[in-house]
Amino acid sequence: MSTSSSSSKKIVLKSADNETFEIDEIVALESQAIKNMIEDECADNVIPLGNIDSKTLSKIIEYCKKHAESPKKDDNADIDEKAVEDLKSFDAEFAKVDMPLIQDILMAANFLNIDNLIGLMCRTIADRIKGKTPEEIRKILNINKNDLLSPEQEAKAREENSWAFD
Amino acid sequence: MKTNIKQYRKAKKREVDDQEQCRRLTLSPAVLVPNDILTEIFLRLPVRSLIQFKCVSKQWQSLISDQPFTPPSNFIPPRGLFLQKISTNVTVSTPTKYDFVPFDSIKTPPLKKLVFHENVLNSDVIILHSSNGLMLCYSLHVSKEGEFNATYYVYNPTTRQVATLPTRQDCDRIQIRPCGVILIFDPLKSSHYRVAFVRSYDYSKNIYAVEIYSSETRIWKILYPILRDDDFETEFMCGVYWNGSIHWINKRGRILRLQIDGKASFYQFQTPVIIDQWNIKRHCYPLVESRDRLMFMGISSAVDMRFDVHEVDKGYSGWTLKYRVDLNQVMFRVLDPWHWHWRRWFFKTRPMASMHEYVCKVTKGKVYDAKYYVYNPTINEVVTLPIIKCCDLAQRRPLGMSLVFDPLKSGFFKVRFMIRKLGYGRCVEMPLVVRLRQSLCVGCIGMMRFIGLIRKALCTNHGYGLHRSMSVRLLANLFGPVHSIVSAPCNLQCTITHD
Repeated sequence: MSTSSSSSKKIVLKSADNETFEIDEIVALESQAIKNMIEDECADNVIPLGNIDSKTLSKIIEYCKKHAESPKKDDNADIDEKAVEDLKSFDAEFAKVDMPLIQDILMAANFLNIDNLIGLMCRTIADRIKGKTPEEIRKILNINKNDLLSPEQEAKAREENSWAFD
Repeated sequence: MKTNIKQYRKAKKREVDDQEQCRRLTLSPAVLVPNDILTEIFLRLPVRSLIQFKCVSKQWQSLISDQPFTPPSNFIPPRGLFLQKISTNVTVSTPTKYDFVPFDSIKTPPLKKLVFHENVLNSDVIILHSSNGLMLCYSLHVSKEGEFNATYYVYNPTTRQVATLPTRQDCDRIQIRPCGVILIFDPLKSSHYRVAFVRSYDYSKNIYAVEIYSSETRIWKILYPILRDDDFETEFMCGVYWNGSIHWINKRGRILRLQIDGKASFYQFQTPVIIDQWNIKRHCYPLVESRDRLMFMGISSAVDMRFDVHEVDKGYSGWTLKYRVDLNQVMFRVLDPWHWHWRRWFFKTRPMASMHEYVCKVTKGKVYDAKYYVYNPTINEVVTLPIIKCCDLAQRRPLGMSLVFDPLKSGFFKVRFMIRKLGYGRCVEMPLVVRLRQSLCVGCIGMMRFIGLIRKALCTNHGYGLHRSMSVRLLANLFGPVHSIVSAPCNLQCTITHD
């Protein structure tokens, strides 16, 4: 799957639907969870990710590759601004996907512990729900029906915070 | 041994409830997002949205209500100014309007005018002072007996909550009007605010009492010792609270400091720049608190767009030059609000830059013969306005006048006179349009007035983010989508060069 040089160590990730992704170790290290596993030598050659499907996983790998290539902030104080800008526009493009996929990526990033990606996804969700009504949010985020407030509770909450609804 | 991340994490991190994690990840389409992730999202939302979102679901409600929030490290509170609009229509008393000028990107203004339900008499509400997101306002109303009564309010523009301060019944009417008011509110130290009034004490002209109202005890207290101002020169109008003390400046460039936290006591110290006969009406009030520093703006001339900002340390051992501010660059960003201030300037600030000098002579038969000029001090040019021809001399004296000028929109300025027409008893407006050369220079002067207003209408800065120990409910009170946040001119990053 991967086309990178054969000299570096490879890690194979296996998605829930049994698709395998071979990636450079450096890319996999973007995930704190995988990093810990590798450091503790708990990882086999193939790491099964039983709750991440291949579509989500390929997006995550795309993100990790880009970020692994880019110079890290703390390495060098004067990283050239072009690289930073480049990464920013990559992030912006990356986030232009539909809401279910964003949520899947967020859950997976949380599971794999990729801080930057969690931040990016949270920011994207926040931007999309900002200024929306509670009804719209329920629809956008597909909120569990069982978790809704009763009509009385909702009326009370609206009453208490009426200033925010003007 | 077959290992996967799930088992690994379970073994490694007990605190992660893995089973729940697993359930959530597979629970599609009705996704239940883990609390810590949801919190991450909430931190990136404006408070107003957050409060609305309490209705979204039970999980959201409990999280938003209970969870203390701390801002993400990149949280930058917005900055801007509230400007008091001055109506150009002098005959109709309209409520004072405020405009918000954001310094960063465009944000919705937090308020346009102040209308309180509590203000039953429906008189105009004016902002006097503000501090970290709260505003001290007052309204003046006249009773049937002709008594003037001022009501003071503390207003939270974010939540639109109003608290009416209790009036002091035991005060004699003559002394009731304070010569200085200060709102003290530091959300990082206390969720309660205080209001300090300076009033003349016991009919004396140079002895003052400082009274403090605390929202915690809800009572007024006189602070001892009594304050003596033997030089009669302290400007009590715009005191600045910082470092547990209130600071005022006097005309000789000394700062009077009243420590109010702990044991009350007075101190005096020198300002970094001594300007003879400091006049806050001519200059702006030079003391500003910003990001927990007391700053002194050394504005000495009405036409100089550059000034130094000095900062004092907490031990008051000395001033350090902190910034060199050049307003020539900033004014282009804040050009729009200028013309609102022109009228006030036109009338009240004559000494500032000799902006307007009109001669009003009473000649034969009590006929007013006045000439009006518009003066541009920068290029030292005077434009004499033509005599108003419309009517009889006796009616020439205008009831009101205004100067409207926005160099960005037009090179012309307009002068409006309100004139009473004989027999009709009604006012008509007489606009005069005059072209002015080098209009931008006039704008420069307008800027100085603008600074003065900055200080007057407003307040201090806000480097504060949301504080960990406070619940969202409280945060909403304090900050909100807080575009209510306001900063002193020395916070204008783009204009500051570090010395």
